[in-house]
Amino acid sequence: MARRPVVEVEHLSVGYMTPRGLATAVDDVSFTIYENEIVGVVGESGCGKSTLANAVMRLLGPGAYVTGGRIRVDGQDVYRMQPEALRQFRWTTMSMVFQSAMNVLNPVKTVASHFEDTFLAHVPNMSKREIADRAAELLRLVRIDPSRLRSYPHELSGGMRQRVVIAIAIALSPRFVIMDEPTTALDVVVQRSILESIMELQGQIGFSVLFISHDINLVTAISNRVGVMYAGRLVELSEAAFDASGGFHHPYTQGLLRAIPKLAVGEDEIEGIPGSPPSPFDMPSGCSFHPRCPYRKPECSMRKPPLVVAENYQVECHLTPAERRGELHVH
Amino acid sequence: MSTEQPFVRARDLVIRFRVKTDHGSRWITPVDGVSFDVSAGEVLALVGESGSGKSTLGRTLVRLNEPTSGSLQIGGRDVTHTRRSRDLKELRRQVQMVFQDPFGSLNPVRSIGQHLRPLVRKHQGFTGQALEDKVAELLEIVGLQPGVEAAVKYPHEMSGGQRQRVAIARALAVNPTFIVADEPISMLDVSIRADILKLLNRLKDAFHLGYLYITHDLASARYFGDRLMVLYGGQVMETGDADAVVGAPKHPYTQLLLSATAGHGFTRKGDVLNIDAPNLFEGRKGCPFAHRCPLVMDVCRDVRPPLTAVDKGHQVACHAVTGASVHTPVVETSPS
Amino acid sequence: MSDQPQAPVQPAASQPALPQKIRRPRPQWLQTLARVFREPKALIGFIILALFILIAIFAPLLATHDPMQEGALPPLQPPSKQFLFGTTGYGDDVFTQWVYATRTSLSIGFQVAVIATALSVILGVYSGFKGGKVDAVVNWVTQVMLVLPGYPLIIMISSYIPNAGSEAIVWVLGLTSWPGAARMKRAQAMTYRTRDFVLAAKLGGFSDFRNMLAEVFPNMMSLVFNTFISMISWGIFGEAFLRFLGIGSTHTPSWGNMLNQAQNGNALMQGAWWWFIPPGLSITLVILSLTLINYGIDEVSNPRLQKPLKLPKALRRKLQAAAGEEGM
Ligand SMILES: Nc1ncnc2c1ncn2[C@@H]1O[C@H](COP(=O)(O)OP(=O)(O)OP(=O)(O)O)[C@@H](O)[C@H]1O
Ligand SMILES: Nc1ncnc2c1ncn2[C@@H]1O[C@H](COP(=O)(O)OP(=O)(O)OP(=O)(O)O)[C@@H](O)[C@H]1O
Ligand SMILES: [Mg+2]
Ligand SMILES: [Mg+2]
Repeated sequence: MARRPVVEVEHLSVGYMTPRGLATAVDDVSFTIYENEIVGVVGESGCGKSTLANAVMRLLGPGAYVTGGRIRVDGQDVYRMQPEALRQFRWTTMSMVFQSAMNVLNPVKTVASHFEDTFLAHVPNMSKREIADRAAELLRLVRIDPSRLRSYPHELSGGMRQRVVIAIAIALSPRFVIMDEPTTALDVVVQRSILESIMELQGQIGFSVLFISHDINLVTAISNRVGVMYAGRLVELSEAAFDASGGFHHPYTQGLLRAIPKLAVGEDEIEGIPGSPPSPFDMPSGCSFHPRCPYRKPECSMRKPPLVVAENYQVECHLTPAERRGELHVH
Repeated sequence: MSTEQPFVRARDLVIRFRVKTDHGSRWITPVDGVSFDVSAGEVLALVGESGSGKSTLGRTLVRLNEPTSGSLQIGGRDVTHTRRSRDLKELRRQVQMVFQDPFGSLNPVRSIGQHLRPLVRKHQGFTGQALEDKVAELLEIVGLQPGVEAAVKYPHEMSGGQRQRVAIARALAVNPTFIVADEPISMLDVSIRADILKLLNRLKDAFHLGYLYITHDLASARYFGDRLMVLYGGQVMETGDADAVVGAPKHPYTQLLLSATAGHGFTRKGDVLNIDAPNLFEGRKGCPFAHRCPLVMDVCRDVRPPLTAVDKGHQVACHAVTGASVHTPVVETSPS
Repeated sequence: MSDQPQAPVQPAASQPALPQKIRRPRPQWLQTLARVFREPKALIGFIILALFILIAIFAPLLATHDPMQEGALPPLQPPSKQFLFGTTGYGDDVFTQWVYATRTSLSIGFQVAVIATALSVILGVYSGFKGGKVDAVVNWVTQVMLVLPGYPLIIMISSYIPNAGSEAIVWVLGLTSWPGAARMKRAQAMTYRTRDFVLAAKLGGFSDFRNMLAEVFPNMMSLVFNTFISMISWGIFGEAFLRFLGIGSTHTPSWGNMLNQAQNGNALMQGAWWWFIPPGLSITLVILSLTLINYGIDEVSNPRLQKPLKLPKALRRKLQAAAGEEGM
């Protein structure tokens, strides 16, 4: 079937210029997001998820440079747009929920006036009445009683603040939304339900999400495909298997899965992934994950792993599928 | 303190807030008739969906909120309506709080040492070099080695996990007996979460600390909590031993939460009926979960189900589980 | 303090070998100040201001004539070796007058700034942070002060004080200029009221007043410094303005008085440019320098305006050759 791509990222590399030199935070990442699709991205803190998101929005801060690659959203090259066109393009065509969503609301403004600011910045002739109606509708969508429009941020719970920010991000019905860890304070039921109703609302126009999180269970539960980032590289991109334990291929992904406390009685201990992610100035040779990989082979430290593309997954790993499968089962 | 006297003893706590709406202001009751005990050295895990009143309840234990009615005893003293600043300080010497957002709970312009030093000086009376040593020791207790080095850093030089450790050290600086931990790991990286949970666990044994551990994640609640209390719409739905509640959940809401939690085969569609936020406005009737409940009966919409024991130490508030007809005496929802 | 030798009593065994030289970083506002000095705009501002401050401090040494000997010199002499800046129409040495006037004007500026900044900080920060009744009252006063028209008020008050000396002018200017700044600080302080770190400090058992000073105030340093700098400008300008209108004692040497005299003595008609240029230019230069300093503070304290590190040239060229685009 011919699905229309909404976001195309090709060989994107982003680096931060630091006093010690250029630190590569996103390294040769390519992926495509289609219409009506949720793509999740997981990875440990500092692996470059937010940098990737900011690069797509062209909101990289000072000192960050796109050192290669191309990004197209809705067919338009984001880095070839004029500033005014870009300003309109953001929020109306693509928008973003920032990572610190809980603290981005202005503490001395009510929820309603946050909505007013957003609408008036893009639709200057909208009337107060229309804004209020639309805001109430959006709040209902994120499961907040519209009567809370007159509340101040500190009168809302942490999760409610995050939901208000999500509502603001989708206020102008964008085609594509990046959500950078937007729902840390929400439980899975609420998260899934919010996303579902957003998708429903956008059903006809088509609506895609890049969902960033460090919680692989959550991401698996809500997205169609899951990308896994490690040290700036997209080491795996797989169809989200419905039972999270079987569908992943990279040893790092397996480690992420094990780091989560399990419910089953008896499995009391939780194990993190031993070691810590490498510093950008001290990248291991070969596969950057090999010092922490339980299944490493001699060649892992010698050559960069190839990109293995299969029917419903792609993975950057030296291990053969059989090795991965065999070893993982033994473990 | 003897075992028969719980350290925290809350009875029928009600907390109301006035909220502005388009039709004038109305009252909401995010905590509505909640009773619980926590003994010294025990962990009560408080689970519930966003907006169910968890933080409001937690902040009440350190009296950042004042209960509207009910009674709250901490360390054997009634602190329900304490207002004198000396009494409040005394309370906060015993009960401390760790906030959810490690990026908002440290002052960006003060170094880590400057966060801890005044507290240690004030509450433990150290000065001079002994003070510096104590601060460093505290930082090492929470896993920031070497403490002397961590003390000179500023918050922006630390990762989220490290900041949360500092926030825990700050709570410890007061030498508390009880800590309210409000979603201490939800904003942290998954691989760090385990370490912070382990740290809290270790401190519990080392200092005989009790906790109110607030979370929306059943898995970590079971891992860390001795007992578990499930809140929905400001009311207790189910409470009991953590293993019992997770192992054999009785309340439909707990079951829903559990089925959505990792490792329990989350089904992708269709199991969530209607997930509108519960009505918190004063004067509501019946069970707050009724509008979403798969087992809903007529009685659920009118009569608030009482917490009823179904097992030793395992209580559930649900007409469908405990049988509505037995408990016709109406339990008042709104405070008089 | 921190370079004291380690106490020898320390149990060596329990502690791992301490790295001896852990550098205690300077507090952040000091670091910021240091960065302000590195900002070219601010540096120029500071240099100009420093020159004027030096002139003010060493006025008695610099003066070429006795300021008390009024009217003893030949009038309207153009600048020469003997009269560096020439003489006035009343037979005073302009240079000597200017040197002492610098002293008066700057000190008035600083005094006004101290009073207005202190008031705006105390009232604005405390009321914003505390909220409730305190805030309501202070805010009401602020609003009233803000709607009263500034200049007419000041002129009116000053003209009621007969022969107003420097102190009177300082108080009039200081007491009337805080409301705008206070409102700004109140707005910022309000945003701190519900922050977690402030709540945490409260839970630590500290008083509101301490928390305001130790937790909130340091976060507002750049705003406070900004206010202080603009209030100096305002003090100097306001004084000159009042004097120019002939309000208050005309005997104190100040830039405003010099301009007033030059005006009364028809300096412009007589082509005596040396009479009014020194005070006029001084006012302009000092205000310019203060504005530059304020720019510098903004630039340093607002991370958005900070200059990023540039990519090395070689890498940039390579990227351009490869047709990759730079971000921002
Ligand atoms: N402004 C900056 N200057 C220099 N380095 C930066 C900057 N911002 C981020 N980095 C570095 O870039 C890398 C990727 O950071 P990024 O914020 O994208 O990580 P992340 O995956 O979003 O992590 P988290 O889960 O903690 O949000 C990290 O090593 C980080 O230290
Ligand atoms: N100061 C306040 N004024 C008015 N309403 C408040 C105030 N504090 C909390 N509330 C309301 O009380 C309800 C419960 O909030 P609370 O913060 O306790 O939820 P929570 O269970 O902690 O949720 P989350 O998981 O999202 O943090 C919410 O509807 C919130 O808006
Ligand atoms: Mg991030
Ligand atoms: Mg909360």
